[in-house]
This record gives sequence, structure tokens and C-alpha cells, in this order.
Amino acid sequence: MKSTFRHSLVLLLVCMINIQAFAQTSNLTNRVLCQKVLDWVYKDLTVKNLDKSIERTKKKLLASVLSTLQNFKNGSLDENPELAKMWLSMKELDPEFESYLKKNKPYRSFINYGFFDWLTNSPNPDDVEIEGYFNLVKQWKDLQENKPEYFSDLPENLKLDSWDLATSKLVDEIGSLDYENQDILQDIKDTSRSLKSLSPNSTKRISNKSDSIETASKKLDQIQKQIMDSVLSIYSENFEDYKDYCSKADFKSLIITENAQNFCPANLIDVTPRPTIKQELSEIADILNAKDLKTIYRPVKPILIEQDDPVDEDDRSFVDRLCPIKIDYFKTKKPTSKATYNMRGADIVDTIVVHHTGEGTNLKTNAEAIHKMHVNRTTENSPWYMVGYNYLIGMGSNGSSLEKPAIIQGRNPAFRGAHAGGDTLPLPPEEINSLYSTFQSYNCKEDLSQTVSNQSKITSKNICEDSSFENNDFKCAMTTTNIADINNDGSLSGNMTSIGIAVVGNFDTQHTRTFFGTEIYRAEKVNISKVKYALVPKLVALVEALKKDYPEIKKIVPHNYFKNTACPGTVQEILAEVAKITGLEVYLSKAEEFKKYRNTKYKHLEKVKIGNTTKYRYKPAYSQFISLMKKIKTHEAIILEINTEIFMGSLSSNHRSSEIKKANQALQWLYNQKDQVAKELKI
Amino acid sequence: MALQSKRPSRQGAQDMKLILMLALFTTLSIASQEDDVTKVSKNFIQSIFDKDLKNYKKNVSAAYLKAQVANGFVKDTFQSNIKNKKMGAYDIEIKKGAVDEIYFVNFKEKTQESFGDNWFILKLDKENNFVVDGVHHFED
Repeated sequence: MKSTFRHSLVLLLVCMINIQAFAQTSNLTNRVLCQKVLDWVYKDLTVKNLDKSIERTKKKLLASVLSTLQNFKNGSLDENPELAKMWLSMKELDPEFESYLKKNKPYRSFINYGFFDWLTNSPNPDDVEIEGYFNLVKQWKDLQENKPEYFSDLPENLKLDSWDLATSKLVDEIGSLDYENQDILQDIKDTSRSLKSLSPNSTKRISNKSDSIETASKKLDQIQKQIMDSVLSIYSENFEDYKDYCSKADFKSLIITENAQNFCPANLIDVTPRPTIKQELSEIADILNAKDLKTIYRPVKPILIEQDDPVDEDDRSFVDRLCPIKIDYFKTKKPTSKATYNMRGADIVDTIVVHHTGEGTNLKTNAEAIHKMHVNRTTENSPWYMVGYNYLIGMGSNGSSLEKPAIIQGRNPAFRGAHAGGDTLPLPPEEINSLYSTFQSYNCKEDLSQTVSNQSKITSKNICEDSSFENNDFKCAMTTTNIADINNDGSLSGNMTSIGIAVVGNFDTQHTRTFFGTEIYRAEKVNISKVKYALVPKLVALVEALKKDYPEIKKIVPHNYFKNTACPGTVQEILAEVAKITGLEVYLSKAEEFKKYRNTKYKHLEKVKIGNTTKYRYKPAYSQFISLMKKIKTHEAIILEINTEIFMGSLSSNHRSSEIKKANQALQWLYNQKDQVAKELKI
Repeated sequence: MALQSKRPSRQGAQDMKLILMLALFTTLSIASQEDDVTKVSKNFIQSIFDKDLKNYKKNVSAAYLKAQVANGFVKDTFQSNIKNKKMGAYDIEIKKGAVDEIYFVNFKEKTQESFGDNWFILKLDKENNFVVDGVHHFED
């Protein structure tokens, strides 16, 4: 029966949720938080209705005594010693219970007949054992069930039920509550005090015994209606209040059980009269003792990014909502006119690479200084466009401090960064296949004379207010085909698939550089343990925001995952913690990642040692597929090269157009071949 | 409209000469700069092994020297009695800055496989001499 009640309650709750007007569902859902909200709802419901529940029980107890008295000739409880014992117990337990009776007709008139004499004569008060409300009510209920002849004219709805048991149990628990939270303790004590001073409505007079039972029955219905209204109000208030944190779907998933049936008792609530109201209320009994009150508090709402922003229609990226410091890097230093950058799709980004800015920098090194060095650099005859990291975290640079660390915008992450210096593991063939339909724009350039000329000095004014530093006015080479840009071994550039975050400062384990055993340079060094408290929360906030902007991000790695380098020094020590908080996977090396997925995602790969280097390459079964891929890569490169020359202005678009056409035709043939092989390999 | 002659004009030939001379001058100038940078870099390293503070100071900027004095490097290197080990054969790599008149320089012992991530930055001082001015940690 209890189980049925519980299931019905669950369904009732589901229906309650359904009828609430939920605003837009936030994607910041938190299953743990939502469960806490639900627990709180149960508790709120329980505490707020406890007074009414106790009144309900008392009414039943009174009606029970009245009913017994009607059956006894001398109008005393002598013929029902068990009930007399309970009566005395109740008096001991709750001194107000007797006066509660005495104040009211018809009990008042019984005084003249010595009605209450039995209280002192029988049984012996020393024999009374007070074991609390719960045991007493339980005994009373058992008596009603085992000796129905004593209560023959007691209506069914006035008999004690499981709700009364739960109520009395709670009363006992309140007496033993020892809350750490003083506010809650006070609330509960106040509630408890008000319960004990309950008295019946004095304006209603009870004329005789049968009338009093009828009145008690009506009063009971009234109480139960109040409880039901309260139930609706509590659900509505709490679910509405937490709607930004827990969606309707979240609550549903938490309360729907596998035994739930296609039945909605809430549909009956608005039916007049309410034929099932008592049944529904008895279901609430399950709530009353369902949770341990001592451990349930109203959950604190987490600080959400949205709370900082009163505008609902916020089209900014999640990272921008963190108000990163934005810098007009080109005001500091323009790159050479030969510098270009590449765009990439958000869906190709699956990794966060963590760096430190290393030797030659300290906590106070500004991002502009790093940008200045980066625009002076050239990789394979290709000059750098701007600072290579997508983000930097400052704890002393650009106006930040350890107390107020800052996220500094580096290279717009819509563009490929310049930081990883290595390649991914060769991709699963399925992923390679899908990459051929990924759009990327290559070799974009900006008209730097058009960039803003605002002062680049960082002030509180231009933080999060001026977005004009973003390089949006870009032009890209028109490529006639989508370029997958897959390396010959089936890997992708780490820069293409990742977002680079650099922690400003030198976190090397060694602060001296030696050459032939002699120190030639001594660097400043930051102790990670002294900045960790500032760094971890900032990095976590950035990673969380990036995860929302780039839903494919699944892992976080140190720079040395991609390249044999000491970078990011001791910053590496905090990656596991950041990964744990943000739910990302963390790999300190490719070997670690390969080991985890060697039988699943990377089952197509084999590990080989070439000299001192470990390589990961495709198993022989995929040789034809890889061979075709390499040819495609060659032809894509031809087209890219021609388009780049046109883009850079050294060729007219008409020039070599026949070459582009020819390469495109060859590509189309290769694509078809690749599809055929992929089909054979069941890729 | 008269057809343009495909043959370069006399003026055109003069222009071409000028361009070629300019290119030659630039190339020679860069080559000369690289020689200077190499020389300064080698002197810089040698001065440390020789414990020659005077020579060391000649090859570093004031800011760089100040930092190395502050962190105790200068004292420990040039004023200690500990003998340095002998410097063996090494490789030097120089990269010119893409935008500024600066160079990135790195050293590698012959036996090492590759250059490290940290490069010395050489830039011109007020007297137009290249000096070591800092270190840059190379990404990518």
C-alpha cells in the first residue's frame, strides 16, 4: 500500500511539474542540485504542513474517544482499559490534550458525570510508559484495527492512518532535533511550539456527540484541503524559483520511477467535488517520513554566468560573458604583411592545451609583450599573425593580480592558434571521412589599417564593454573545395583541433639554464603552490565556458602532450584537478590516451618505435585508405597553393585556372575512390 | 592607341638596376647583421665560460644585466671561485624577427638532438650594436 502511495505521489509530482509554467530551460542543469531542490521541496512540504497534520491527528484521537464513549453504558472508559491507558499516556505526553477536551462541548458537560475520573483511578499512572507520540498513535491505530467493536460508529475517514503515524514520528523527531543551522532550528522549534498550543476553533460549538463527530469530519476535510493547497503552492514556488537551474526534464528524470504508471491523480484535483482528495492526501504521508530532515537545507543557487548579465537575449559567447580583457594587439605591433591566419569550424576543436609563457616572462609580463615576440616569429617561412595563444590567464599582468586573476583574450579562437607544435594521434578513419565535408577557410588577411586605433591600455572601461578589438573584418582566400588538411599519417595539426591557454609566468621546474654543465642564464620562476588558489578557479571558469562554446571539447592536455617540451612546467600539476571539476578527460601524453582507447577509438592504430621515438600509425589493413588520403592531400595542397597566391596578390584569378580545374577533377576522382574503399573497410 | 613595346624602356632598365642594387644591399646588410649577431652571441657565451664580466657586460643590454644581477646570476657566475667546465663544440641557430630588427638565438651542444624552447633575444642598443636583451619561450 505504501509503495502504491509512493508511486502515486511521484506521478502527482510529475503532473504538478507539467502544469507549472516553466520559462526557457537553462542548459546549466545540475542533476545534483536538482535532487537537492527536490529534497527541499519534500522538507518544505513536511514542515509547513506539520501543524495541520498534527491537528488532523488530534481531531481523530478526539473523535475516537467520543466514539468509544458512545458505546459504553456508563460513559467511561472502564470497559476499554487499553484506550484508557493510551489516553493517560497522551495526557502525560501532551498536558494540553486534556484541557483541549475540557474546553469543548460535549466534553465540558461530562465533567459533571465524573467523566475524567478514570484518568486518575485507572490505570495506575506509574504503569504508563511514554514512548513518544509515534508509539502511542501506532498502538491507538492497532487498537482500532484489532478491536473494531470499540469504534463501531467511527467513520472510516476519522480512523488513524499512515499519515498520522508519519506525523507523530515527525513530532518525536522535532523533539530530538539538533540542527547546526540555527535559523532552521528556530523555524522548526517555532513550528513545534505552535503545534502544542493548538486549540479548536472556539467559535464552533459542538452540540452533541454525533454532531461533534460530524463536525470533526468536516474540520478534517477542511484541514486536508488546506494541506493540498499548500502542496500546490510549495511545488509551484520552489520549481519556479529554481527554473533557471533545473528544467522540467531534470525534475522529471529524478522523480519518474520505472514502476510509474500512466496515471495522473493531479488531473482529479480540479474536479469538484474532489472525490479522491483523501486518497491523495494519504499519499502525502509518504513524503512526511521520506527524508531525513536533519540533512536537508534549501540549496544555495550557484552563481551563474547568466546572473551577471541581465539581458536574456545574450548572443555573446560564454567566454565573452566572463569579461576577458581584450587588447588591440595590432596597436601594439602589426604583423608583417605576409602574415595570414586560418579559420576553422567550432566542431573540429576537441582539446584544450595548457601552456605557461615560460622563460623570459614573469607574473607581470603583459600580453602585448608576448604578442610583440610572436609577430616576430616565423614557422616554415610563414610569419606569425599575432599572439599564438587563444587565451592567457594573468595573475599580475594587464592589471590583474593574484587576488583578481584575469582571462586575457589572445588570438580569436575562431582562428587556428599557434601554440601546440605537434599533431594529434592519427584519427579514426570514420573521423577522417567526415572531415572531408568540414568547411575551413585558409589564409585569411585583415586590412590592418582599418583596425581600431583606441588606446590599448587596459582600463576598467574597456573591459567587457568594447568589443571593437575583435578581428572580425577579415577576408579569406576563396577555396574552390573544402580542405581537410589532414597530415599524411592521418593526424591533424594540434593547433587546428585545440584551444591554447597560456598561464602568464615561468613555471619551469628549473630556473637555471646550463650549457656544457655551466649556468648561462637564470630565470624568474613562479611557485605553483603559491598561485594555485587563484589559478585553478579562473582556469576552471574559462574551461567551463569554452566547453559551452565548443561542445566537442572532451580533453585537456599539457603542451608536452603534443611536443617534447618542458612547457607548461608545474602548471601541469593542476590539470587533473581542473579536469575533475570540469568533467574533461586529462592525458599527460599520447601514450596515455592511446592506452585507454587502444581497443576502441584507436583500434586502427599500432604503436611502433622508430629510433628513440614512439610513433602511432595505421595498421596495414588501412594502407589503401591512407594512400588515397595522401593523394587527396597532395591535390588539396595544389589548389590551396594556387588560391593562396591569388589571394596574396601575386597571381590573377584567371591565371592557372586550368590548373585548378584539373586538380579539382583529379580530386573528385580520388574522393570517389576513397568512398569506395571506405565502404569496403566498413568505415 | 599605340601598342606598347614589349622591350623594356631605358628608364625601365634604370629602375631595374636600382631595384637589383637595393636588393643586393639589403641582402648584404642582413648577412652583415647576422654575422654581428653570431659574433655577439658567441662572445656572450664565451664570456660566461671565461668568467669575463667586462666582456659579458659588453654583450648584454642594461635591462638584461640588471635582471641577472638581481637574481644573483652575475655574482654566482663571475665572482665565485668555482671553475667552469670546458665548453665543447656546439651549434648556433639564428632567426631574424619578422617585423622588428631583432634576432632569436639558440645554442645546442653538438650531442643534443634539438634546440630547446628558450631563445635569447638580441636587439640593437642605443649605439646600434646588437646585445642580448632577454629570453623568449618559443611555442609551436
